Amino acid sequence: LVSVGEPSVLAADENAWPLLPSERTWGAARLTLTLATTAAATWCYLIGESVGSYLRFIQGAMTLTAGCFIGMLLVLLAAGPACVRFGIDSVAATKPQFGSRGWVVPAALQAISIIGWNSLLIIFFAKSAVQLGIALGFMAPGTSSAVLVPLLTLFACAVIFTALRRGATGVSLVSNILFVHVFVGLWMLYLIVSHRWPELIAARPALAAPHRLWNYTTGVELGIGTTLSWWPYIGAMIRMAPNGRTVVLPVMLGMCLPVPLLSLIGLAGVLVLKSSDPSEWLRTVGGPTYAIVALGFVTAANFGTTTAGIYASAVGLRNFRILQRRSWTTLLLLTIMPVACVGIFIPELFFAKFGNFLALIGVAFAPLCGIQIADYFILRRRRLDVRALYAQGSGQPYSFWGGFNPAALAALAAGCATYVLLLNPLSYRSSDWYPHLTASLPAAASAALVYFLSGTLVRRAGRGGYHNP
Amino acid sequence: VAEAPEELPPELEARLAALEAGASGTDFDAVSWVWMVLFGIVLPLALILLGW
Repeated sequence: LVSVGEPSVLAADENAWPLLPSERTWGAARLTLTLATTAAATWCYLIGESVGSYLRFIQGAMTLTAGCFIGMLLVLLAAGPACVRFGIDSVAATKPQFGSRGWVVPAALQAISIIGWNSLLIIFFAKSAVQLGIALGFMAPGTSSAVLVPLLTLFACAVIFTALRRGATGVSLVSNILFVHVFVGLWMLYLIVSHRWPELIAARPALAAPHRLWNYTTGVELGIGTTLSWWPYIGAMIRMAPNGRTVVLPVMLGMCLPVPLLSLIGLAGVLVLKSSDPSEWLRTVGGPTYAIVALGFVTAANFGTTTAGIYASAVGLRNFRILQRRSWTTLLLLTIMPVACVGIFIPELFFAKFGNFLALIGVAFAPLCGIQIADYFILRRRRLDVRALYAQGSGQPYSFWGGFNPAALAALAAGCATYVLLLNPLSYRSSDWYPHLTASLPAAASAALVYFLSGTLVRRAGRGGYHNP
Repeated sequence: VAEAPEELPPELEARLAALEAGASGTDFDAVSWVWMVLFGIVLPLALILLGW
């Protein structure tokens, strides 16, 4: 989400065109701030809850942090090079692998991921708004959220739709409040840790498997899946920086580190108070005044992140040729409707199945990262044709066969199959190898291997622009 | 048979020309790799060993 005011930059942003070095003025500090505000949203509480279902506090904190950094490295190596070299977004960076038409596959994965995260946030907004109403005395304690959450979701969607019909004005201002949320989150973590430390250390996870290594690996796996899901977001931000060196530390410390830190709130909450949502336990731990202040920030942060996410998603739809001439209102409706449907009809189910959502993210994005890494660093030896990223028609370097690269599709299928064989993302049933390997890392490796082998055949066939200087 | 490439919008064309003329950025240098290995491999391994 670019807030630069120059018309040409805004046009490039909204049309997914490359940015020139003179336009890529973000330094490490600004990039860190932007990445942190994007990643450190209240979804972290649910990430912590997922880990807290299998691991105790210290183990959960260690494995989640480790997994987050591993996943972040994969994402940075996959999307980073093309995005920082040419100032393009994550989806545009997949054209050398998937083809001038095949990029719709990663674009669809991106859309599903962002819709999922936005749905999560808007449900969280509705839940925290209910709790805020109770804390302020507008509702009786114990008021059921079964009816209120769908109603508040509908209300929030209507407000966001109305606000965004006027474009991006104010979105970046709203986003600024999110950074404050990081500190509010750390304060909430301090509250629960300082008040309940003995219970926290003694607490046992509710869904822990008998196999200790399985639980431990699942903590790492959930961390990897979490930061793999930053793939759709990362390109739009790191393309504002001038080179690779400027982005590495901001990505690792700004986009990655706050996630496990804030997830500790959910991890501690679910272990001690059986709820990852601080809006449910803040009154118990910190008293009514703390609860009102913190809930105010949490509610605003959820609303702000959702607004920014829906704006980014709607802009991303412009990449699809069929939607390039559609009105902004249509794009907004297409983006908000799935989010609203999830929030209105299945909010509790979506919350309950959040771990499966993370696993599905791993199924899709781990192979994608493996494919991009193999293509850029091994097959193309860091050479990309920037004009070919935008050239349409057969015979163009990245048109492959009919715009699709069968090597990438085969590798993606192989990676997904590897993941599912190791860990079923719906049932969480796993193979004997899973506790030793995780599922995301073998999925990325197998996709990279299949892509390398089949990509070699594509290169021999003279397709894909591999022989271009 | 190769088709002629579709004409690109003038502003996009200008941007691509500038990037082809050498105005593109650079990816990861040696310092970047050091940080990536440190944060993406060494630190996670240390945390996994410590947590176990």
